[in-house]
Amino acid sequence: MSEKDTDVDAIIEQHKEDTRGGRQRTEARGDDPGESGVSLRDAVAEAYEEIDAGDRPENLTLRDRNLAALFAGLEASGDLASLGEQAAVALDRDVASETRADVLRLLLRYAITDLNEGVIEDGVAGLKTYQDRKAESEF
Amino acid sequence: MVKNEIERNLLTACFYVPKGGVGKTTSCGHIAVSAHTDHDLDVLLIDLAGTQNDLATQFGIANEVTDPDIPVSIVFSEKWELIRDNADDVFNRMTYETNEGPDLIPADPGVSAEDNNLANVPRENRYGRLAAFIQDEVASQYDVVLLDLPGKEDNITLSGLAAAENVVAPLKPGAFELEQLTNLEAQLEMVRSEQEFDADPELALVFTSMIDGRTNLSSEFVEELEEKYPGIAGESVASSANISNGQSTGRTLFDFADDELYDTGKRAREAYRDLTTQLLDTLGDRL
Repeated sequence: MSEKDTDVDAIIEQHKEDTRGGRQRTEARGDDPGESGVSLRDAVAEAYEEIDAGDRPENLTLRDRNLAALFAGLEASGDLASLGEQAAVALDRDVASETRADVLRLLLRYAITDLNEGVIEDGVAGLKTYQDRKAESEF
Repeated sequence: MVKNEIERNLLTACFYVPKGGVGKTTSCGHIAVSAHTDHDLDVLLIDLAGTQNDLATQFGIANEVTDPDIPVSIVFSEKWELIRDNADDVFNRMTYETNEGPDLIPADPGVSAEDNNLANVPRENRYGRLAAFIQDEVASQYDVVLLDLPGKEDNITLSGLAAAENVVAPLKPGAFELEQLTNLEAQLEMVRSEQEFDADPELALVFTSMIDGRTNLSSEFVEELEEKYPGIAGESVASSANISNGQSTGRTLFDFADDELYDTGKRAREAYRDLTTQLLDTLGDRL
């Protein structure tokens, strides 16, 4: 094998290593510590434990005058469900968005997925870590 | 830019609907086999639709393609030209034979990563890499190339639309499914209107998949589709257990003997034959 072949094969293998798991390695990964030194996956797992313990609420809240008016308008005009259905379809989920909360969940997930699907993947990984830890502690 | 450089006798099409679970991959695989078997064409499938490698599963070679020697994702990377110009036998190291005729370039996990990386590439240089690969490596070896695209509009999908301007869109009957086509047409219009694509993708074939002839919804949907898309609405494909059974055993309907198929399976197979003929005629007219 020539030196050229070895170099090219090394580049190919490095590419596979860099992109394994579906994300470029040089991007922030769930198992790489973020700026705070904690990985997103571990932080999510810990958050589930805090919710179980009652130390963290299960709800998200935000105050935004313009969004409040927009969603009130969407409900009144009957357009809220359609917006939720579009988000559900885009996420390949069942179209069953009945309430404002349902639609908001879908819209938020859609926005995060669109910006950085890796965040959702890390969230799922964090949930699995939490479940595994819980199973181990109950065993 | 690059699309005009693809050899004019290569028939290209991409299977794309911005939604999963509509039979896109199934249809892509079946039409590929029919194009090979019934029309004697050399067909290449390129799977860019996620990392599940559903096309490989369709043909029973999923275990073989888990770690391609040269993954297709590298085509989208800045390393591709170096690999292309310096590695031996590049194309064959990416490509697998199926036992039903078409060859397959399987998906790999790196496609998702390269989709993210493309976001950092200037738009004018972002979408032509796949088209250049098809021109350089595929056009001289095949008569037809079919792309199975992700069920969402990302940089990989846009690259696919730029490379294969003829869009095949299967749909499942449903209240909001025609809206998917409207959304898709808007996406295609966006690609046509923006300079960095230098491409004119348009719908080439639309059809209903997983049709259940017993329901009014199915027949009404088909009628509405034919009314709204005259000329490109194709035969409906019946829902059949033979299709899913075939996928679990790595076979398309064309690999079954007649006495192995239910009536629904036979109808679905004939529908795929008709769809293939219609698609090839359309692609030929558009060359």
